[in-house]
Amino acid sequence: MMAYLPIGIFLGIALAIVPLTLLIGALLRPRRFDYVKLQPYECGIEMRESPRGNVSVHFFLVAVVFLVFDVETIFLFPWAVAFDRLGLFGVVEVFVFLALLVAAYLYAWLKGALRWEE
Amino acid sequence: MSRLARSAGNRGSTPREAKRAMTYEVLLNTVGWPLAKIVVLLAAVLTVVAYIGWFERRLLGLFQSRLGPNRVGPLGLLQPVADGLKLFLKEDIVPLNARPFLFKLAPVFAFFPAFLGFAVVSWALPWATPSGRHHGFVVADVDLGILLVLAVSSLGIFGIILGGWSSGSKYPLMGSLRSASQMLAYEIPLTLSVIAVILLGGSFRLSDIVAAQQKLGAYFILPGLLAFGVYLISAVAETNRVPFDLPEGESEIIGFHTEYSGMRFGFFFVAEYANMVLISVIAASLFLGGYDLPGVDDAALYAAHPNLASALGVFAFAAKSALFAYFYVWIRATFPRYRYDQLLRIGWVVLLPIALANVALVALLKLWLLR
Repeated sequence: MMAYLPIGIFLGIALAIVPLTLLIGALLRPRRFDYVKLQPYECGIEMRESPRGNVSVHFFLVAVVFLVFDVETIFLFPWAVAFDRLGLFGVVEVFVFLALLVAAYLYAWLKGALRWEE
Repeated sequence: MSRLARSAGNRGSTPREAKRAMTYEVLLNTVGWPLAKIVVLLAAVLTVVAYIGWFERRLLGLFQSRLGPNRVGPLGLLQPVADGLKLFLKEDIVPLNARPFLFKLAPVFAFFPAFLGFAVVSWALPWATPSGRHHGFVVADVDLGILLVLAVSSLGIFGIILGGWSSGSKYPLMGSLRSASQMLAYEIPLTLSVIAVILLGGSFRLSDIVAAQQKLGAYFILPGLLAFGVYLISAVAETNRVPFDLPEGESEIIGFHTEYSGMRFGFFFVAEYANMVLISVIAASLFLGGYDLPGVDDAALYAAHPNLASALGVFAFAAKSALFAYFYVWIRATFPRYRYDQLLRIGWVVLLPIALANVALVALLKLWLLR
């Protein structure tokens, strides 16, 4: 675990850079309140409805399909590292796994989860 | 009394003194050296990130028969400083409709994942000091190296989603959804192409992957040519660059950071370029042999002149990474932007099956090699 300590230190520094820079900048930059300036960007038109409304269902489909394949890659990582020890048996196992995955992929495709044209 | 006399007479030999010297040694090794390396690394990376913007603009100028930025300092070399100062001194605007806490958190989430990955990159063979110690050119050469890079860099999506949603404006929200699904779509081909390299190298550790390429006598770009192609295309999409720059098309598309200005926008900008540098560096170590010197027997050179080999290794690594940086600019000057449905189709319907098939192919190749 000690090998990861430098990464922890790195993380701390990387997290601190943004607030620290903004804090120092606060001493130098102007601050002028203006109601119109703080309105959301709408090309000059007044905003009529809340922007946090409905979202196209396609984005959810992308997320779900992503989840399937992302979990799949998690299974592939340990196999890839232990390949030498698993040998032929591991390859066959993974091919079965990939075949199941391809079936899921084809299902998603036929159901239209991968189409965005309409 | 006797203890005092002893410690005065023979410093460092009492158990207490020895223990203090040892804790000092341990502290130096666990915190001191890593901290020094981190500071040097961050300074180097931030400089490169600043100047890659200059490099890009100058090159684009040449591609388009213009001059590019050449006014501020010799050859325009002070342009990044001027741009940084301008962003730094601009007013910090938080729109009234925004959720202030999340709005301020988003740049942090965009910024740190782009830099953390550099911690596990091995830049060269260890530097040998005259006292016989070896200092690795790496902040932490952990056994999960490349996995950590993949895991951390996908956290960057949070910055985009948080930034777009918390802005309280509809264009940033749409932009962030588009970017997030773009990054999700291309993350899988990217990961699969990295898995092909892990198969070939047999380890997550980046220095092991470079060593495996030296042992094989060929860079992984040859056995992993398909993986390399998939990696390149997905890397361009992951970093939101032309021709996949839908999150932030400079000329017309309104992106997730529309409501950001000044330094907060600057952090998104810096994060994008840092991601580009990181992905170039990773590509150089995975596919082009990292710090391996082409045409030279590295092990022999290292045995004879260890420090020369290390120093040349850093240069070789930098040159290989610069190739990718040039490639990025080159395609930016060449290709028009894709439409959004085309972009997702390339990710899901073209790259993903190729990457999956490639994993199977590389597995068979490795099996044949092992036999």
